[in-house]
Amino acid sequence: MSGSSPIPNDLPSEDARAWSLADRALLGTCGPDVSTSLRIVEYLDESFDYAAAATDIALFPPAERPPEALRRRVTATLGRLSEASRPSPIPMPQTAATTANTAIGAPTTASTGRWGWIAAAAAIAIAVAAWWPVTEIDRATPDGSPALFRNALIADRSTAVVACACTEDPLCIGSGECGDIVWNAERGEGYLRLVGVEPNDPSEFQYQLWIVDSTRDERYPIDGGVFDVPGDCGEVIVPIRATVPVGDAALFAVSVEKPGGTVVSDRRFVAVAPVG
Amino acid sequence: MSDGENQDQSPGRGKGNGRTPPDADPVLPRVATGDPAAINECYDRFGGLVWSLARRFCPNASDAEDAVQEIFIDVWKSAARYDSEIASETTFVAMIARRRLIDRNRRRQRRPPMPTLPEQAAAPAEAVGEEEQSEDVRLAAEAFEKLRPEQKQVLRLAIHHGCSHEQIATTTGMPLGTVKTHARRGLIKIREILRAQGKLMDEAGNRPGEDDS
Repeated sequence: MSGSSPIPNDLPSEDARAWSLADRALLGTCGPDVSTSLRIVEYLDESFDYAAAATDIALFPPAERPPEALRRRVTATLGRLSEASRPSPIPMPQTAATTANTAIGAPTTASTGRWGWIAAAAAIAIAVAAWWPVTEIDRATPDGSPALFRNALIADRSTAVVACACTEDPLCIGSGECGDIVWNAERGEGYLRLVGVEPNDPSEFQYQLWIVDSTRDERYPIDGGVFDVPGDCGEVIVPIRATVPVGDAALFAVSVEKPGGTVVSDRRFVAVAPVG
Repeated sequence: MSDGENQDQSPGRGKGNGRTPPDADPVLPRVATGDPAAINECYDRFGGLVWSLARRFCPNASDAEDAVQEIFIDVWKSAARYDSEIASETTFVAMIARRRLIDRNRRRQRRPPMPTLPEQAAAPAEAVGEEEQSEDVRLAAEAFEKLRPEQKQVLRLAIHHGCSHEQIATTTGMPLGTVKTHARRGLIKIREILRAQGKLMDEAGNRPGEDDS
């Protein structure tokens, strides 16, 4: 299928990345032949999408008014969602945005600059973790051993708990955060807790966890295991099964992959958890 | 729309009709905090924009209504990560809307074709929702004008309906490879111009002027 984007082999990688991101902004996809040229941080670059959106408005300004019935439908839906998702009076999102701004502005070198997105995401995660009610962590399923092991790991002082943030993927039906990662670097042991993600049919696709290790080439994240989200399960707790030792986990990400998982991700992420 | 259209906006903040500039009083941070009034305000401010986009991308009004609902849920979910230093709220909402609509189009193309209702005539192009033009939109318009005519032609088709490269090649008679090159280089050029004006972040998450090699 030539519809996506064959990139000439002799293109410099910088151009290949730009072409790939331009295709995504215009067509919604990167061709399979170019997606592998994108690192995770680049995949999440939105500057081309912003450029396409601004050009869209400039060329085709709004010209129609929506039906009044649609207004009632949309605002009623959002009102219900907003009401149902208000766990705390603390205005977390504003705090997160403010913190993220600070984090993004901080890098001063090329090496820190390339981690700008991770820094921003980490700031959001920290804010979420600070806001997260403790009872939420304690509400593990009573019968699942992963939940028990996870709670035991949390009790270890050297264990980090970082929030998972939803992406805009339709499979992520929650808002803001969608679970957490419990990770003990010393033990190399951890658990992913995921909520608000659509159940999967394992014959169609599976979820796969990835770990970006800052001591390794970020183009090659570590496979953290393939897992399913059953239909009758509001929350799933998955042991992290890193295929190689993790030196310094900088980011966890959950992607949607073909059944059985993959060694090279298509980078369709439903959740990300940057480690602060 | 001809290339010269929509260029009647004065630099800065649009038509100067005395109304509040679109981003002078940002609504998305309040949406993110769950302020019920902000939800209504958000819809009032961006409903026309999202509806117009949906009508353009969707085969019929019913599908467009479903799309608008999904888009506003996406906006609600994403409101907390809006950053006014990267883009205007208008552009942020349009970006989310375009993603959802392109995604819906791709899914639709994988399904058997459904009968569609006749297109309704668009209402007159009056001011809908936002009377003022955001700065990044104005800059995008200026950047678009700097493109080569072939790039403009291809990019307009690509942006208008999310047309595939093949569809554009068929429409324009251009070779497929030429279409791809024009679409990509056109958008890259616009992005470069926006970044030169201090807008958008790059692929490494850097803001303009920050580690911008």
